[in-house]
Amino acid sequence: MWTWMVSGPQSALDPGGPHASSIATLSWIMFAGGGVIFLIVMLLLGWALVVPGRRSAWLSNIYVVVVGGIAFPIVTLSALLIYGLSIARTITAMPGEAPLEISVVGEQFWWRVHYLENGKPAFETANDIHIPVGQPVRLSLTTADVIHSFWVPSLAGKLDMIPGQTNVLTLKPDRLGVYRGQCAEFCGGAHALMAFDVVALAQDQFDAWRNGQSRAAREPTDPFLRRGKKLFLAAGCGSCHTVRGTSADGTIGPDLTHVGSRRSIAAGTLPNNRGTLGGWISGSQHLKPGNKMPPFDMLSGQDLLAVTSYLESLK
Amino acid sequence: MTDKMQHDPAMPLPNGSPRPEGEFERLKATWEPPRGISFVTVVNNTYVGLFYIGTAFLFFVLAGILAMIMRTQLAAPQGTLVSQETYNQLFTMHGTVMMFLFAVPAVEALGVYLLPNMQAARDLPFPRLSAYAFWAYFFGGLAFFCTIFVGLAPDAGWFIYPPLSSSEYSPGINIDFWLLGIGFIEISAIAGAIEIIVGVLKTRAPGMSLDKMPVYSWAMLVFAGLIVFAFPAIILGTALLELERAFGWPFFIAEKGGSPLLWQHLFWFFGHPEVYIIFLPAAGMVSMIVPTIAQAPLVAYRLVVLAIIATGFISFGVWVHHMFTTGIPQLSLSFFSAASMAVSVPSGIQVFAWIATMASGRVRLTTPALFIIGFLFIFTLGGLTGVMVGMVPFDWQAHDTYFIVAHFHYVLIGGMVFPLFAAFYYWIPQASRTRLSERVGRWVFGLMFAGVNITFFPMHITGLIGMPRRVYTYPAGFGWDALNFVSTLGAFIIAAGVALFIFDLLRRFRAGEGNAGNVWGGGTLEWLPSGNYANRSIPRVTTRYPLWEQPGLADDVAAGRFYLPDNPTGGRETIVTSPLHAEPQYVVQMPGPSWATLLAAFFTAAFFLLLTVKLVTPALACGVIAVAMVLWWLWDTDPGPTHPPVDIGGGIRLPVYATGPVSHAWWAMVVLMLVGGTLFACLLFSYVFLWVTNPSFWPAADALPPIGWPVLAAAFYAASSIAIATASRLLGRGPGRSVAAFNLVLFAAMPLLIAAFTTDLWAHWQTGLRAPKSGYAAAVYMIVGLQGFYTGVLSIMLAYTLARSLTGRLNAVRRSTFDNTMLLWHFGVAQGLAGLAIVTLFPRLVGSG
Amino acid sequence: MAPWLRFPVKFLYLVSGLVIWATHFLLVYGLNGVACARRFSGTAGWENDVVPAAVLAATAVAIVINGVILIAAVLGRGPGIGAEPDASVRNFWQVTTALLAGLSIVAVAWTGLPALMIGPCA
Repeated sequence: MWTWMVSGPQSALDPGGPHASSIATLSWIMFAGGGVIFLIVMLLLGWALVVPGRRSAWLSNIYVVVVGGIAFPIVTLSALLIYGLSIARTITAMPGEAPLEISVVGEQFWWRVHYLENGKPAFETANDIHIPVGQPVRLSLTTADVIHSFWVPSLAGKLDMIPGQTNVLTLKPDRLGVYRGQCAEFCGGAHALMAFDVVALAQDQFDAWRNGQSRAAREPTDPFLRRGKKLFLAAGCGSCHTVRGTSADGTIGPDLTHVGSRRSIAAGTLPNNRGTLGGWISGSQHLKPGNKMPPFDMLSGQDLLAVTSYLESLK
Repeated sequence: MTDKMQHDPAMPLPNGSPRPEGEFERLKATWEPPRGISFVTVVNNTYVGLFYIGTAFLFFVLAGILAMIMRTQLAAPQGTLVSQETYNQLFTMHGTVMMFLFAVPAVEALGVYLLPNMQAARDLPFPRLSAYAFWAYFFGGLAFFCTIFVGLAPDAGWFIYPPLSSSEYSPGINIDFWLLGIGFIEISAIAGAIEIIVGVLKTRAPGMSLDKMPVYSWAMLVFAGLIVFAFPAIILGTALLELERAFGWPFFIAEKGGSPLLWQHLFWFFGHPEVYIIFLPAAGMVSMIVPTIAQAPLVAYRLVVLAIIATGFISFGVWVHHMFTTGIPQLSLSFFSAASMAVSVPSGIQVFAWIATMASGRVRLTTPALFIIGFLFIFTLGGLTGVMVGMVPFDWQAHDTYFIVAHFHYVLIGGMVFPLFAAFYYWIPQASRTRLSERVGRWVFGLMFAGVNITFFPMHITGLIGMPRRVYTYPAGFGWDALNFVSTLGAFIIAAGVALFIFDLLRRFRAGEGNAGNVWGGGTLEWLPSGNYANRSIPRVTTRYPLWEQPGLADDVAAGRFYLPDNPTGGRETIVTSPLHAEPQYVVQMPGPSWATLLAAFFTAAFFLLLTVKLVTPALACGVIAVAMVLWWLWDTDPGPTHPPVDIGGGIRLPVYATGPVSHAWWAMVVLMLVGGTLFACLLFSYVFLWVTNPSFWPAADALPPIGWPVLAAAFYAASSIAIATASRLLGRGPGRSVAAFNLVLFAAMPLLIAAFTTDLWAHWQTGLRAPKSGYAAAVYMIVGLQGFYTGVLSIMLAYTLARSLTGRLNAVRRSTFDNTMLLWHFGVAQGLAGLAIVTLFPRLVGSG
Repeated sequence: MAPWLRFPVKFLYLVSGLVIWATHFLLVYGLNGVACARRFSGTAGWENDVVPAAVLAATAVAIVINGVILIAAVLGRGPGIGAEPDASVRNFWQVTTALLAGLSIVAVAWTGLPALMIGPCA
């Protein structure tokens, strides 16, 4: 009934996996219980104010204070505490089957993602996490600079990324779909524009995606795209960005090997197309002030189109 | 004699009437505030209290305006009213100003105003100290607020987590403004806490034993206790962060053996009690207002008192609930979840006690009553969502989202602002010749109540459907748009209510001689007829509601038939009573107004602010002047027994001066030592915490200074304490003593203390250890550095004491100044020895790495 | 007892239940904190056996001590209570001391409860 109000790709009350689900259930129970308690207290208050003399005398007895203020809360809170602890225990339990291992590094203001194989990075992407439905995922969370917080509410609670430690978040999607996450610890300037996508796919689609991501960048055959690639490298983009299979191998900024396959750019700020890519390259500070990429406004219109077409082709 | 007076109300009154000619005029004249421009030096608690409340309210309005700008920006997605940078400063300042410049000062201000009146004391025990606390807050707070006009306001959130707030990621001086700007607030709060503890425990009306004390006094006692044990954590934290930013001492830098979590622990160990510092006085006020509006005594007084005490204690055990998402192990988190459940029980006790009290009487829906009802509604709702976020898994979703924003605004606005407005409407007739308008008051209430719910209730939903905190804008299409718009509408409704209140306040509030009287029929002592001198005579009370249950009390007090209807020493006096049974012990002579106090406050604020903008020499100059002003202010105090014991009435003869553990000055110093001890404990915690998290930075035994050094330093420390103890004995010898010997021994303590500190410092310096090297090094130098600070302070105190002795103002009887120096000296030495022990023995015991 | 000691002693007795709670809390939190930090830095392994048992033992001890305080207060025993001449003051001290001890028992029990359900360093 309330679903229209609480549904969405970034809603803790529209869960897509068991961790978020059990928290959502806890939430509804607490809302209901809290609502009932609130109503009772307000009714008692109303009674005390409105009902005259003898019929409200019972309410002025000290035992009302003892029962209402001590006995009842002790019973209710004991039950709630046990329930809450049991949910926490379930959520933090080790997953039964071997999880998919991903490491996410928080950066100002984007997400560096490594898919791991045998504990070592197999390939890198950014702001974009694809996972198979039904398999647990183990995310190792760290930061390159300040404290960030990894939060994809439809799937799990949040966990901070703190310098000097690695926090591990386990989650599992039960439902196909695209879930949005956002940084949930103020990390400076463009904190508000630091989001990411989590895409839950069927197993075979996920395998296809992973194989595609592991490959080096597609070498363009079309001359316009080849021009774009040349301009990309000539403009110095490779000193910050990596495109595997080319000479671009910088690690300061996001890996762009398969940037064309992502739903959004600038960490969820803009949809991903040639127009937004062009706007970003030439004036990223206007779109996301304080982000770490300097503007590249020296490219001519045609050159910019070539570069963005090249990037778009990197699927 | 005194027992009989407690149990036998038929006993004759202490003093006869009519009173002698001119006695009342002399009393009034002594308590007159200064005229002309010197008015600003007034120290009467009523005037200082009103200035204080007014300034706090001003900050409420200013921070509220910041919030209006924020809400307008957020009314629609992709708003463009303010830039990202401005918004980040706005939300940081809104939180910082509300918490530090409005909420705590407001409740402290009400205490300054109300407490002496409610206990029939003529003033707080240290009138100049409360004036100093106010003016430091006034100058410093206004200067701090102005940073937003020049774009230099801090912008990392009100809890400025490192590394974002460290010099690497926040290179400007914005964060330094926060750190040093909050410095004088910390001083104000500690000063206020000392006043209030001593005031509640030592200056009550005779017969007001602890079980008859107003609930508000209990609440303020616990409030002050919370300040004493919680503020040192933030004082230490801000010092550490400033040292890291200015000098590279890496307390919070993980790569160098520090820890960002150390800041969070220190901040929240302060931060959670902080909200109870804000709430408990408000709850105390509610417990005073509810009996009056119901015209019935508070039901379950003992339960309410113990609920306040329990809340205070348990509030120290919940701080990690602000850190549930940091990756701390689940079992540890669960301890804090359990304590968060426990802390809600006492609040429930109070709510039911208030409801029961209202049921036992008949409540007339006056404006104070409406605000109390509003408080119960909003605060209960906020308390329930508080229990929810105390559940760890739920908090993993709700933390850092608008759900939390909703929760804390409900408990803070419900739990503090509504009682504050109730208090305004309730007590303004005591402070002003005209009361506020009931008709306008209903509108103010209606607008504020509706506005708060319309603004903040939707935020519960907004947060859970994904909107995080501290975002200057948000994308369309997630279902956040309409909710944000509604919240913004509500904000304007609140603003309308507050504006209406201000309009009525300006129209009606008239302070000065005379007040509107006991318009609500209150039963406690603040409703006695009063003037600048407080009450004409100080009553003996036998019940919790003296005005209801002691017939003719008001008349007897006003006619001077109770204690001390005059001022026998010719100055400002009140009766100091025992803490348990409030039996009179002595009459305290209190100082009057002085420019020194105001100037000391001004130069203290200037010191901190100049240091922030890195004008070090002018800052130091201002610091020196501030200290000089403080010494000038103190010079009038400690008058000694200038008068033989006085007859206060009823056959009770009291000395006019006291020293030793019975004196208010001794108690104040004990409270100060508790503050210092807590600060030191937090520092030791920091040292051990850094070892637990970064053990590889701890040294091997051969890198430590050879053990001879700390032994030598310890010997110097002990010797300086022995010198002070010897001086104390010499002083106590009375007129036969050798003044010269005393002066010499006293003086000798100073070079011994300085030698101790220097030895300690050199011991580490000569090993090549330097503070910026690692978290370990920084912690060691902080321990040593704190001793340096105490060495400086104690040296100044010793020099001052010596000056008193040399000018004949110190002797066997008149020795308060010496005693206070002695107490803090021994404390400083004990702390020095403890610091030496831990730095010397801990690494040797745990091994390295 | 020196006159100036009467208030501090009586007040400490009043809040003794809460002081026990605070001590218990610090001990169990400190123990788990150090145990898990050591594990993260690779020099422990004993935490799974030692910590829950220690927490439960500390909880039991704290509850017993608070129980003693509660009963003593109800019976009118304890520093300064018996010697109090004023009946209403004495009653105030007894009731508040006993109830604070009682509430502290609940708080201590809730604090210890997670040790039955949650492993130390999960």
